[in-house]
Formats: sequence, C-alpha cells, structure tokens
Amino acid sequence: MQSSPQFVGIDLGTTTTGLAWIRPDGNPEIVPNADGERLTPSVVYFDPHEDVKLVGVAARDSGDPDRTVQLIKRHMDDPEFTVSMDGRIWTPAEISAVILAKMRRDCSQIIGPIEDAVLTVPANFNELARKATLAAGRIAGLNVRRIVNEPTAAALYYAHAQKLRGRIMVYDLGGGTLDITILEVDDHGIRCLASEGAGRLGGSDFDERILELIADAYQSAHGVGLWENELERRRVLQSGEDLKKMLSKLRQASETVGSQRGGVARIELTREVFEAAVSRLFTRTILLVEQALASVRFSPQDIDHVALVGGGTRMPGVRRMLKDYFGTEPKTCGNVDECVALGAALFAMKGADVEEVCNHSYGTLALIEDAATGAETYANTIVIPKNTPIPCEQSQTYVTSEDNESLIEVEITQGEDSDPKYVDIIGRIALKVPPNRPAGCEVTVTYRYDENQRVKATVRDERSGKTTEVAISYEGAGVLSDSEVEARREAFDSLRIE
Amino acid sequence: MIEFLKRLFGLSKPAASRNQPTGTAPRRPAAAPGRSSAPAPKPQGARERWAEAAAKSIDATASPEALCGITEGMSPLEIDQRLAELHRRHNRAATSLDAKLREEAAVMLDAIAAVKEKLPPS
Repeated sequence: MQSSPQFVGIDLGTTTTGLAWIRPDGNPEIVPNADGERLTPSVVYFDPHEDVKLVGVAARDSGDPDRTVQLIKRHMDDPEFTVSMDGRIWTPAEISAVILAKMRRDCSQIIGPIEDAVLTVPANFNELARKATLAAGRIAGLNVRRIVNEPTAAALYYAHAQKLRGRIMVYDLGGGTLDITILEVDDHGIRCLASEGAGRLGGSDFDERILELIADAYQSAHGVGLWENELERRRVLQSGEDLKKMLSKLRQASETVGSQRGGVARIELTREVFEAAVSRLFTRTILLVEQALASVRFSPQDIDHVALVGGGTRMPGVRRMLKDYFGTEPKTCGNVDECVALGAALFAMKGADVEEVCNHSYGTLALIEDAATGAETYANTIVIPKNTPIPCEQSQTYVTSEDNESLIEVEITQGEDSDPKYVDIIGRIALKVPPNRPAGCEVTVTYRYDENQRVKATVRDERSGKTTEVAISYEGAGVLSDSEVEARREAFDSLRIE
Repeated sequence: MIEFLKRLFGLSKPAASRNQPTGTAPRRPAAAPGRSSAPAPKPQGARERWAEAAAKSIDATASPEALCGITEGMSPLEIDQRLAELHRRHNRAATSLDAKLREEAAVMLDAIAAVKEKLPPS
C-alpha cells in the first residue's frame, strides 16, 4: 500500500478539473483520472437506469442534457440555485463534491490515498462561494488544508517552472471566470498586491458568441433554425468550441453542423470575423486589467511580466491585445490549462512563502452625517478594505447617540461600493444592552479575515463587556448547513461515481 | 430607535470626536432596506431617499452612452474615469446575491465595454 501523498492540489474549474501532486523530486505533476484524461470535464451525468453518477468526458457525451449538469461553478455563489434530479435536490456544493470525489478516488489509485488537499478558487469568489467550495471538499471526503486563489497558484507555478521574478500580472481567462492578479515575486516568496475578478466572463462566453455566428450563418443559408431543443443546442455549442480552438491555430476554419429540418451544412469562419464578434468581451478583460492596475496605482510599464493562464489565453486576439497594451510579449507556459493545479500542489508544499490579500471589502451599513453641512447619506462603511494582506483583523468603535438604547443592530456587508445597493448583506446582529444608559456608550465591531478568506465578526458592548459573534450565514435552498454537510459526507461514501 | 455615531475609523486612523467640526461620521447602522420594486413612501431621510433610488431599475433599451451617464462635452479622460468607476461597481454586482442586480450588471457591463471601444486608445 502506498503512503498518502503529502502535497496535492486540485483546480476545481468551471469547465475542467485537474489534480496535481508533488513528485518525490519536488516537481509538480498532473495525475490523470481513471479514464486516462489529464483534465476531467467538470460535468456530472445522472444515469436514469443505474444508481451511478458519471463525471468527465462520459458525462459530457451522455446525450441527455436534462440529466447532465455543467458549469456548476458559476452557481456556487447563488444561494437559491439547486438541481432537481429524480426527486432529490442537489446543491452546487454537492454537484462539485461529485466531481471532487471522482478525482480523489481515481487519482488515489495512482499516487496513494488522498486525504489532504489544497483547492483553488477564482480570486473573485465571494464568501458564500468559498464556503460552498470548502463544503464540496468536505463532502467528497477531503481534508481541505487551504483554499488558494487560482492566479496565486498559477504564479507559483510560473515562478517555479520559468523562474519569473519581479512584478507579475497573471491574466487568467478560464472557462467561466477572468481573474487579474498582480504579484511581487522574489527568491523569498510571493506577495499578492491586488486581485480583481469577473465572475461572469470566461471561455464559455466566447463559445456562446461563436454559437450565435454559426446559428446566423445556418439560418441565412437554410432559412431554418439550427436547433429546437437543448440537446441540439449543446451539440452545436460543442462544435462551436471546436471551431474556436481551430481558429486559435488557423486564420480560417470550418465545422459541419446540421439539423433534421435544414440538413447538414459546412460553416466557414475566419478569425477576423470571430474576433470582431467577441471584441466587446476582449474590451471587458482590458477594463478589468485597468481596474487591477488602478487598485495599486500602477501603470502598464510597472509590470515586468504578464503571465497567461487558462485555455482562453490560447486565442491569438488575447495575446495581441495584451502585447499592444503592455508593450511586451506575454509569457506562456504551454500547459495553460494545467498550471493552476500544478501551482496548487506547489502551494500545498510551500504555502507559507505566499502572502495573499482579501478579495472583498467588509463593512457595515450606516447613516453618514456630514458635520459641515449636516447632510445625511445612507452608505456602506468599510472596515476591512479589499486587497488587505490576510489573515487580518480590524475594528471600528461606535458610540450610541441616544439615551436609553437597549438594542444595537449591525449589518455585515461584503463589497467595496459605498452605495448599499451594490453590496451584499451577509450577516446581521442585534446586540441587547442594559437599559437606561446615556448616549455615548461605546460599541466595537471587529472583523477577522482568515487565510481561506472566510470572515468572522464580533460586536462588543464596551460598558457591559458583552460580546456576541455574528454568524455569517446564508439562507437559500442552495445552501447547506454544517450538519447537512456532515450528513452528505457520510452518504457520499456509498455513492457510485464513475 | 437605535442610533450610534461612528467614532473611530479602524485601528490605523486617529480617533475623531463627535464634536469634530468637519468630515463625515457614520451615525446609525440601519436595518437593510428591501430591494423590491414596490413604490417607496415619500422620502423622509437619507435612508428612505436611498431606498427610493435603489428600487429603480435601469432602462435596458437605452443607448450605452445613456446607460453610462455619458453626456456631450465630457472629455475622453472624464469618460474613461466614469467607465472605470461604473465597471468597478457593476463587475462586483455581477456576482451579487441579488439576482435582479446580477441581471442589471450584465446589461451595464456590456454597455460600459461598448462605450470604451469608442474611446481613443489611452
């Protein structure tokens, strides 16, 4: 029996999932699944005949969209999202757990039993999505040692494999998200300076655009639509993805598509037409690059290297756009789909050398009075600003302004916007205080941000010494409680996953 | 009614007295107003005024410039700054817990990119 591998990293991606470990020689290596694939499509299929869940290529090719779940990662931050299958409700965390369980079981056969692992998440993942990811790992039978941001893991890999040093901007265009992270790398470690992410901008959005191009061309040629149901649409989408990949290599490519109504057609597409159709998506990625630079008051010239991560960066248009913007050729490692998993394994080995920052601001809602004019504004006041090095702790002290207050209410917000409309309220507390007190009593709110970017808050009434912890809890059909996570973990042991 | 004045801004900033003549002071953490589109009552204070504004939806049929609040006479630099500000806001809102806000953010992000594309390279 092999001993447990010490350092394992898993990139739980929107479209594919990869697992890597550190070989005895100290280098990271991707571990294939039992089907021989280095990367496993993050797709789950619920078979109607047997009590089995298929994961990977078999699931993607199952042919029944009603029983197939994909892009589940895009719903990890949605408290109401669930999947109903055969009378059972599945949360995003459970669907992700099926994928992770497949990876754990398959790869254990090659490198020995896997218990501990580092999981990666997009830098922009919020508190709820991080919580759901931790739950997914737990349900899958993993001891999640750390959650690390995908660009940070990728930067570790670049620093290890290409010896990149200096100020590095990681441009990570994955299947579902875009992350832009600026890091300082030297021989002693990695320090993250700023991280910005777009949760709804990834390779799948480019696939949707090419799908529209194909559908329009087919409609023009045949006078009928290319699909009438989800199964047909997904088949064309797959063809579109293949065409997109071809256009990363060729200036012109074609794909054969068809329907029962219009027959088979060969769709020709040039890279120029494709790039024109997705130019707005390219522009959105530059807007995020500018946002990240502005966060640290850098200009493009302050960046030493731009490192490419994610399958989306294979598009020539992305590389050309970044070269034009920064004036230097971006760096690539070839295996841009695998470097996050490889970096996660490296993180498992030397995470202590990495300093990350928090990716969201936390604060409270308050009425703000301008002392000069007396005008009042209802606003979000930030206690822990985004991009503060983690772990961290910050406090704010308030004084009551009226006599005889008996209840103090505090709402915990996530988001840096001053307008309360654009932040999420992730916790509420009502602190009872002794009656008959004058105005001016101090109340201290303290926020703690741990290394997994989970936040905790306490409220302390300074006069009575009474302290209450704010439970950051989410409500919704798609959210599991801690006890539900434990129950699912036990149930998963007997679940058949192939 | 619960009211309290913020006195200290974190650990690293100097304490501010309630009688300080200038500056701003959060005064009263208030209950979260709903984000429903129901007609709001007549504004009475800052929170009510905010709630009324927050309940308004964007007009998805408006031009990108109108959505972004771009007016004639704004310089490219002013437009760029406005877009950066809007992008930070709506990019964050794209992953909000509020589904309506997520939908609005998708429209706004597309509009922001559309206006950005028309700007000369900076």
